[in-house]
Amino acid sequence: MAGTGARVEIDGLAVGYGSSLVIEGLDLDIKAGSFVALLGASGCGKTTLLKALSGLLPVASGSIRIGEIDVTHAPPERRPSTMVFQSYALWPHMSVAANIGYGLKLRHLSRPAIAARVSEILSLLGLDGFGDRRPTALSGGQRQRVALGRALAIDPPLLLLDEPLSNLDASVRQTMRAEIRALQERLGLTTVLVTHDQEEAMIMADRILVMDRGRILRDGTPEEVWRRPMSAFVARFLGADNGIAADFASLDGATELTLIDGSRVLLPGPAPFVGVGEIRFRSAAVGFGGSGRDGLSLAGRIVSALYPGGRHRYVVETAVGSFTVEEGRRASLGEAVVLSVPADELHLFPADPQAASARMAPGGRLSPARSPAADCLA
Amino acid sequence: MKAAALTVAGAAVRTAIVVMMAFAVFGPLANLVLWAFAERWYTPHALPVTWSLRWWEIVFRPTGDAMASLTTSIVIALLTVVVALALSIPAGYALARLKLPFRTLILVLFLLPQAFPSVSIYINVARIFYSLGLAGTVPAVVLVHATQGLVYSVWIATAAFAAVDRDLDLAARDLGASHLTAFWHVTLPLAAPGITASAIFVFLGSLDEFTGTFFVGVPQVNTLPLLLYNAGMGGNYQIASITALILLVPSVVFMLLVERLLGADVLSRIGR
Repeated sequence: MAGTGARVEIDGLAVGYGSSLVIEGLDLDIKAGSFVALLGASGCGKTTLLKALSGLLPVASGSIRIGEIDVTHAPPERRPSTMVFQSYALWPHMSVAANIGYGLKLRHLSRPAIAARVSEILSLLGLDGFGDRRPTALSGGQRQRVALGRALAIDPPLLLLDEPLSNLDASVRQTMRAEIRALQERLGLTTVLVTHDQEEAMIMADRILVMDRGRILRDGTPEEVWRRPMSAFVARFLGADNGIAADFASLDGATELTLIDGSRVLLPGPAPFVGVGEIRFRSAAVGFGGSGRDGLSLAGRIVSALYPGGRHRYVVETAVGSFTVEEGRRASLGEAVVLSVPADELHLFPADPQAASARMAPGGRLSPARSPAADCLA
Repeated sequence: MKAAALTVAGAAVRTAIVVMMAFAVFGPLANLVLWAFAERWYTPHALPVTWSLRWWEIVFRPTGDAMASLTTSIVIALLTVVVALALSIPAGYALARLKLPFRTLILVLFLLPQAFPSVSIYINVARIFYSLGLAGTVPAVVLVHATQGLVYSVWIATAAFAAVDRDLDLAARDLGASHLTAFWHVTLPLAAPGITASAIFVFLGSLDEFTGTFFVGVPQVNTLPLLLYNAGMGGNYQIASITALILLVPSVVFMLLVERLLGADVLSRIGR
């Protein structure tokens, strides 16, 4: 059963609704057996790409190959991919077993062969004894499993997951993430997941593609993408909510930042670029009190305090803007604090797209020859 | 005290309204039942003077007109359902699933036969049927009944197909089913309750239909409503009442069924 995954090659893909193209000139090569997450906000083109892969949306130009087969213009029923729908799309008039066995029935397998495969799938997903039930009699997590089982029953060379966990309770979602990931690794399935949930993509996938307006902005392993977002957009999408505009200059091999209130900050390492730019950092990277380490220090006042459990979440107003801070220490509204962010947690991006494109390869990715200090000062 | 008095007054008003509504519904029905078992009944008597089951025996006599009319009625109603469904299933699917231009216009088109005075329509239809040699035949009556039934069946079938989540068809296609296979395995079974309900409306509509049959079918085709009309016009209230009661049975039984078949998901999509 293992190692059924196929390689997927997408070449110059253009696809859209009617005359308006959502995706244009997209190239993508997915290794057999890998788990790719398409991450982005709604309308970024991730679902469009998935639909193009499944055949639910006709391709305008370009080509898609799954394994050895060119499926560019094949209807969904002639593609080796199967999809798990966001709504699960289980058939309420069929039993769980009939739902799971449907793909096999269409492939004219014998009744005993179908029954054997269905019970194998049921026990694989921990659904033993549920075969005779109707999908409507199941909980959300169980329905999710049946939808997954229905897709897995035919040993698909390519498994497509369209926001499969978005309708589940938080706790069930946690479990299902780990289960789907474990299954995918065990069965060697090539899997493409569409999600807007950054954490879901990080946990499940071994490769993340951050998409915006039909383009792939960042492509890498979860850790690479997290540590080096490479663009302000990706950084913001991956939780770097805090941003400051600054002017970048080089000063004796260090980077000098001039903030909008005129204050200056010195960071170690040469400036990755010169001119107007943006600093972004995650709320978890900020702490109270000057640590004495290299980095950013900002004086401010607490204007909002929330306790979501674990660490406190504050909004701190400073001379250069408001920032969210996650901090273990308890503080009260109106308290004066000093925020500090270590240098290696600051992501630096040029604001001017012209300046950015000078160092970026086509497709919006930074060239490998970029300055080591760019994006993340280590 | 005052509040209690108001409550009592409110309850009295409510009871009075309920009683009046019940009388409006059940009063005529009670009259029918009384006539069906009456031998002689004339003013000033509030109830029949003498009772009898004689007329029931006449109506249900195997050689009687009533049994022949009932058979004709049922055959015509069943054929009407077949014709209406043969048109409304593909039409409903297309209207619900495909991007059709003038979709609303097409839906309204099926309403047209109801919008004009039926007598003027059927006089003209009868004239055309005469020239075609169709007048006085069962197919002619079936055609007229089906035209009326198409309003219910197309509108309800459209709603029934629209209520089937599109992802359900797509999931079947995704697993390897062709358009047609997905339709047979998924879309049609899921729309079936709504379509059955529309079939019942068409069946009942045909069973009770009078005007069209009167102009197109008479005198060769005699349905139960025509028998009822003739009996009523001839002053035989007993036969008229018994026939009316016979016609009432399928209506009540099927309407109870329709209520279970048409879920809120389908009802909310009718005419959209």
